[in-house]
Amino acid sequence: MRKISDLLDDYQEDTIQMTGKTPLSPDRIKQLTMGKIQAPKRRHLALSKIAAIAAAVSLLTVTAAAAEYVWGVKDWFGPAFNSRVNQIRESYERNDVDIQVPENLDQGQLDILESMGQVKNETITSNGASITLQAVCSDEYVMHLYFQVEAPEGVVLPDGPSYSFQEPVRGGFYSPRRSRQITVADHKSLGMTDMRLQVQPDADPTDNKKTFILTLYRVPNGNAGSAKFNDSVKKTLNINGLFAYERDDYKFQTDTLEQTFFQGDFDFDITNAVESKRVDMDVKGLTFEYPVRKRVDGKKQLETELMAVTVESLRIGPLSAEWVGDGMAYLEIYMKDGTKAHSDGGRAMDKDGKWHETRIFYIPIDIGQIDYVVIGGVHKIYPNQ
Amino acid sequence: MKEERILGLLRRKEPQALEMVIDQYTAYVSCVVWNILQGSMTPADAEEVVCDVFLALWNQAEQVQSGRLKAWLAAVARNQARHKLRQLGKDLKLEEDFLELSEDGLEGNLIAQEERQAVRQAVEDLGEPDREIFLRHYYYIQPIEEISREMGINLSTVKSKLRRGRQKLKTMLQEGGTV
Repeated sequence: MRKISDLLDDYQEDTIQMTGKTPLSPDRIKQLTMGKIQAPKRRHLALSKIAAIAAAVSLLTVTAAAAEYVWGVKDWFGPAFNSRVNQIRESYERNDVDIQVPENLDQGQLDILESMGQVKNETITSNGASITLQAVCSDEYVMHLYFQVEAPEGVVLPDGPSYSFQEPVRGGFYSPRRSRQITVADHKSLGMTDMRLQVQPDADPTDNKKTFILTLYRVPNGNAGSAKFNDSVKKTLNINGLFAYERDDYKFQTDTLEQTFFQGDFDFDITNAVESKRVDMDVKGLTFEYPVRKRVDGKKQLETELMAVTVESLRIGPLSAEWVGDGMAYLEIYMKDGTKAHSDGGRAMDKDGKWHETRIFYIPIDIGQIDYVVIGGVHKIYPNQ
Repeated sequence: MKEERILGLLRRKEPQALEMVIDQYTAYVSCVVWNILQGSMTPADAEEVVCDVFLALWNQAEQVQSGRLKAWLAAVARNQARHKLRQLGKDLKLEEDFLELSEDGLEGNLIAQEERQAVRQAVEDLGEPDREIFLRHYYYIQPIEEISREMGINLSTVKSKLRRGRQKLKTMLQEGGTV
């Protein structure tokens, strides 16, 4: 007895159009697969070749649409943002939170990414390590950078550590390991800046390669007339190496160095002059009360007090929102499809005592699809008001 | 972009080339995998199988001949999905998967190359639409109800054409001195 299905094991078949529907997600498959491969280090050379080949082939073949394919900003960042979306969804499901989370970035969001960034494709080698900046995208307040890192031979970059591009610099008061790393030309300033480094899924946690998304954000801190992340003012990011710091969920920041993987000097031009897109919400003068925990009359225990907050301004871009007021506020942005723009952020007080807070969206939003914003838990604001 | 170019880029480990292949063939590979698994795994697990197919291409691109990419993906998808199914202790859901062939002549007389050739000849000789029906069922493991629906042929005709295909294959293997 022979099985027919076995007899066909070596059959070569490609003539039948199998188009039946399946419940499998093409986006997840793509994300999963691309997340498991490791790109080679000389990407900048390869990409230029691809562009040349694509251009040449387009003249020779009728498959023009495929020939025009160029690896774009959305191709670098799309899978990373999708991965973030899935993390949010899983977190909500675990905690039984009833808030809609989009399946993946839709085409509109991918197009936004494409319009807000550029492929940089620059590799710098120092002390046997190489770092490639593949792409950037930014709005006024937030910039995402896609990096591929290859440590010197024999250095393993494992999964798990809390990675940082920032070398330990002693003597700082607030955050000793945060050295100034962004240089802005023409004596301009970005205000206060901070950064986060997110490691991407890795096919081989025992090799010397890792992919990271670095997110820079700025809190203008009253210096609004200065540089932005999407203007033409030249900005240089200096990376001093790759380090791991002790992870401590209870500290806001930690300065305990766990491991130095390599050190070097990597200066990247991160200038990304693209068109600004933002919605300025009409919120000036809105007031609400915000609960804050503070010591009352010198008592040892903290008590909750309501603090009156007046809002000065609220600007929303595709990657971030920035609001100014004389206190803290809780900001919720709802989209027309019923989903919510998830964000976190940082804030700083300017010399006049006003707070400036930058919220970083977990995934880009289409500002034309904002339905309404709830500020302070009480005011519901529509974009066209 | 021409397939030859894409394969060249894949051999040089250019991720863009893999993405192009994924964009073009995910629906096809997913369909092959899902037909074989037929609900034995969750969609999320099946996505992992599809992912493995593309990773196999990434790692073995030098084995793929230009012009044969789709066939190679189909064969790998089929093998990967069948392997998963075997691991789960399940079998393919097929209409009479067995051919009654004498085992006596197989050893010694039949070498793999001859058998492959005989199978190919038998399938090609079926003519259309019998060949397509036969391959849809025994190669892509598509249920006969779906074949009937997609090809617009009534169920009993599909069954009779499969029966004819089985007989043809048996005859070809026997005439070819393989049994």
